[in-house]
Amino acid sequence: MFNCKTHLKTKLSTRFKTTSKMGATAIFSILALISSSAYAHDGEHVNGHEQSSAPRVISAGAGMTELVFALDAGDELVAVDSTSQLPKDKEDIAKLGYHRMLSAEGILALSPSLVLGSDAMGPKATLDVLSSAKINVVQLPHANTQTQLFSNIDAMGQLLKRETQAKQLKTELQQSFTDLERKQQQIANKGDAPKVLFLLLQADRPARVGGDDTAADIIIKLAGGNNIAGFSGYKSVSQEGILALQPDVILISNRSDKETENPVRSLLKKMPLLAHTPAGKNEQIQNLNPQALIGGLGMSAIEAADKLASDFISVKRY
Amino acid sequence: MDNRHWLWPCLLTALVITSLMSVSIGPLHISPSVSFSAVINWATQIDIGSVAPHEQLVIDQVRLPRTLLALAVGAVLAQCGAVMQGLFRNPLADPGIIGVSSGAAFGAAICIVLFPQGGEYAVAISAFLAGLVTTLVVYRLASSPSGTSVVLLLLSGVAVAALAGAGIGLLTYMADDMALRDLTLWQLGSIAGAQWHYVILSLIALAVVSWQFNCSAKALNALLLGEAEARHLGLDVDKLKLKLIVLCAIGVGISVAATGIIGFIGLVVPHLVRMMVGPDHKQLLPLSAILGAALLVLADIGARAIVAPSELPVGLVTALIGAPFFIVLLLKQRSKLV
Repeated sequence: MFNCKTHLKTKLSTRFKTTSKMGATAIFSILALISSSAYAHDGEHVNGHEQSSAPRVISAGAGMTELVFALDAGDELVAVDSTSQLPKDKEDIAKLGYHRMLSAEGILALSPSLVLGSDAMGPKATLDVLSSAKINVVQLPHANTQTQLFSNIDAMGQLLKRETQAKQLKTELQQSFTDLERKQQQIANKGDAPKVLFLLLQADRPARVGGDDTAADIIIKLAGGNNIAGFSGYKSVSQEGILALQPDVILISNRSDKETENPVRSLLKKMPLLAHTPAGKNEQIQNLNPQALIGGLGMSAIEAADKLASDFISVKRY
Repeated sequence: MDNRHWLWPCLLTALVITSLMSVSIGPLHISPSVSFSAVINWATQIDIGSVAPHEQLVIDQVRLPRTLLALAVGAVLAQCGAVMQGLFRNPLADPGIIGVSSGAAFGAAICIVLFPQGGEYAVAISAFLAGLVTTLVVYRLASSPSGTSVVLLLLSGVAVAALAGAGIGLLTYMADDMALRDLTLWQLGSIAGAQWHYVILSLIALAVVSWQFNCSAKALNALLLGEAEARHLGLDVDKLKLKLIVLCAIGVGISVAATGIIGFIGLVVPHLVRMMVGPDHKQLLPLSAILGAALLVLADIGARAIVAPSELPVGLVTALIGAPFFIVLLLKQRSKLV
């Protein structure tokens, strides 16, 4: 095909008619296909002119969405991003894709009154378009501390007109934090904090250990444990490496869809060396709710930490 | 080639239709007539009415820049692909063959993983610069006092791309979850980040490379005979190579910086056009530009429409639409191409 030989030219020219006709037909049929699918979506739109009285909220970021539901404003949600978890009865809410890659027009088509997100929400160009369309875009900092979580709850309570619920939620959380502090104190009184290791398991992939600056780390520290990973982020660590760290407690979270009957037993079958760690010997390998690991410090993380702290206390020796 | 004249209007019509569709289709329902009024409003800066402010905003800030960026990038990639295939006399050459895409990906990866606070322009700039530097390295490796060898260019391109790939792998290993996701998505390409300054830059790049490539069309035809023959025809082959490589690096560099990596267009469009009009670069280059533009605009419509209100990466769509189409074409032509 790449030489200029004349016989190829003539060959091509005799065939030319059919090929280009075919090409043109194909292009136009694809056009027709796409346009029909595009206009099919238009049926779902909400007309931007109708200023309805009910608030229409879009929430991007797992932590934000969790708070929206905790403040009892779930009914006002019209769309969430792909990281958000929805309760069973709300799973038909529109999905906007990943919260750092939001599409301006997709959001505009839902004519929201408020777009809520963490500081990771983006890209900036999309947020600029939304702002110039007079849509209220609010970004709250990612919560890793109690102070930040409470100020986010306050801000959200105001935005969603749920001040009463916000106040109540803070009271409940304050109680949880107080309980946690009491438990942390109890653990500290017993001597050294338990050495904890968090394993993120994925089917047929090496386990990854959660170090500093991960959601698992927040939970371990809240529960009064000592995360012994010694690095930041998630990294693969071999069984031998885990054995050398001698963890007192191993937390596991399964990211594959397959619900295993007994996650701890299947883990020991896959990684037999773990049975020789203190955690394995004392049966201190526990499952952590994956929900608790997304969206930073929030209700599920606090709940998981509380359960973990109780476990630390109930175990006599680590 | 007496029938060739009707391919021009056919492809131009396809380009106009896809562009009009691109401004009138999207998750937000704006009727075609209102969309076109909004485009006229934007072009003339006179308000002829009948367009709501939020509709005008979507056309101005989302659909028009996206359409024009897809058009410019598609045309640049297809032409660069055609030129590289001609220069290397290799049907598998694509615009990234001289290392510009892999270099740009490495530059973007450095920025995404190591300097996540740099913002999007930092990613675009480092992608562009790394793409140029990589191309320069590949060219230097292949140059000797006796000239530049095409085979050496090809091999050093492969070697440097492998190095860049290893660098990206290392950065992938170091990346946290957020950076990892950004990096992966960047490598799939997207027109979603279309902003006016990217559009203007890409259109300038398109004008420059189209004009310069067109000036070299005759020389590229001569090169098809083989390098020695081209020299005998009085062509300064090494100068031509350098010029085409620099143009390609700049064109692809700007495209990659604006949209990430979009595969397939640059590799396949020139083949499609060649099947229809033969290997004459005078026809091949402008027709590739038109078809490349139309295909990328079309792919971007798909990227926006298929999973609305979220979006697919456009590189995924180009491969999904283009690859099967190309396979069908190959099967039809198979008996005649052997």
